Amino acid sequence: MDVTETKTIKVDTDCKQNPVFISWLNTYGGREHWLFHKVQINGLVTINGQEFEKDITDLENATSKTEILSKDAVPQLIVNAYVDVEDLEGIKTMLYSPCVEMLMNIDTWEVEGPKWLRVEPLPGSFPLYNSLQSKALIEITFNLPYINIQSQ
Amino acid sequence: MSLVIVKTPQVNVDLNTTKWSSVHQPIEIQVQRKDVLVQFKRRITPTNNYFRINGVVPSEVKVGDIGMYVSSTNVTFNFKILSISGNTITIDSTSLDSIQLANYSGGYINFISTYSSYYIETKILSVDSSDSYVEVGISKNKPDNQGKALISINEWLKDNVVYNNTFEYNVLNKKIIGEGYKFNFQFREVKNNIAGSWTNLSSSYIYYWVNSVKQIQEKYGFFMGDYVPTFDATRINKAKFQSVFKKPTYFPGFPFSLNFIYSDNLGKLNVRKHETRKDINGSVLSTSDSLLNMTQRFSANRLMLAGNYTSNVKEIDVVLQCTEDDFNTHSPINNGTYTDGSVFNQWVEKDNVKPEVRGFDTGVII
Repeated sequence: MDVTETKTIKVDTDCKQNPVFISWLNTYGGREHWLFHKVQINGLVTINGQEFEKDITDLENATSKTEILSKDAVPQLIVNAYVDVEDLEGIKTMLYSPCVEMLMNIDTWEVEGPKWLRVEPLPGSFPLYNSLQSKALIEITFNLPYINIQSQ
Repeated sequence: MSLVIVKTPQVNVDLNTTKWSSVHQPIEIQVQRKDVLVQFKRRITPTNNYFRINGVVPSEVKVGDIGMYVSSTNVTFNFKILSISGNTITIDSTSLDSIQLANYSGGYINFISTYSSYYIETKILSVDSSDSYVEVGISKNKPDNQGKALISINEWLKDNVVYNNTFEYNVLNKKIIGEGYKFNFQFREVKNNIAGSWTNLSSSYIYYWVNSVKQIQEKYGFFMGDYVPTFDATRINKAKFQSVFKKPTYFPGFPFSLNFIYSDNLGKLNVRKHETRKDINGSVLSTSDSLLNMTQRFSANRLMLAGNYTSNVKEIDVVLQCTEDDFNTHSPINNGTYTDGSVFNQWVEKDNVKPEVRGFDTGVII
């Protein structure tokens, strides 16, 4: 006797260029998985901290007038997927998941176990698709962990 | 004196009681204070009104104290004690109205002025990876005027949630206790700042939390009923896997798992994962059956696919199945050891026991 529903799993065997594999927690308490591929955009967001105005006594040999005391840099990864609308309904739940992770060892996870890194989908408002579409494009920007930088 | 448990965190799904709740929403236990049980109240003469109770009147109760009576039909009134004799309480009949003068049977009395300070402590226990109980906190609650208290304990259980993905993706099914697991609770009354004894830790009060959250108008409210597998031929809407995708996608070469609740409702039945592999036209290519590891039950579980499919497999139907009379021959007996040395019950398979709490000094079960 069945004690659960019958869940149909699609198998996607296409070759994947530039794979980015994401796993996230959904609101049902379960884990989802999705592979993004083809084109991604690697980006970087930098922010300058406080600027310090130096007191110059030796103008001829001075090397700078101001110094930035700290900087922040957040790498970004922009992925997109062109998928069936019913898959988009599932992928969109990543945008509000409290735990989204990226697989770091795509080539070796089967041997050494998967290694995950937390990433943050950028918040925003996302018009996803209209009722006439059967396939639609979704683009998601992830903030990766910020870079550790020396500060003064 | 005792507390009676009126409501526990469970919901009926067709023929079964399911005990799994979302941990991010209230997990509620309702208890009712009943200091003594009443056999009957009689009015012999207009000035001779008395209660005959079960057991004896507690020694702290004195003449002139105020009690509250709730009859078996929920007629409720306060009375003043005129005299006490063994198991008889005679009440002050001056200015009683017709309701208070009538005869009654059953019900209970709370001595509300005797115990001017009264509250209930609820000890919340979770279970760790070595299957031992761990105390996570104590909730203090004052009951309302009727002696009823609604105690919600999910905030303490949230400490056990693990958000990171810890599954190794190397076994058919595995329990992930950070995604959903057992909890239990004990009560005691604190009367005039003197604490009574804790109720026994009993396997009948093992319930389960899941790291999930329910939405407005969703079936079963705060409970995970829709996701709890039960062995019930009449159940039309079988337990769902915890996936938001109508048809999740498996990318060969990459991790994949489905979440399900390996529930207590399946008892000792063997559970098998049945796969039906289909080609691009939906024709069946092959099937397989795999026996789940039963030691991983009573927890949120991950389930893996067989994998290594031939390239013509485009869809796989996955379902969990049990067969009647197909019992696991090693009945796993879990010993929950309580870390502070208190007495606990060895946990064996048990039918649902009516959830009542033993009285403290009289040993009366109501």
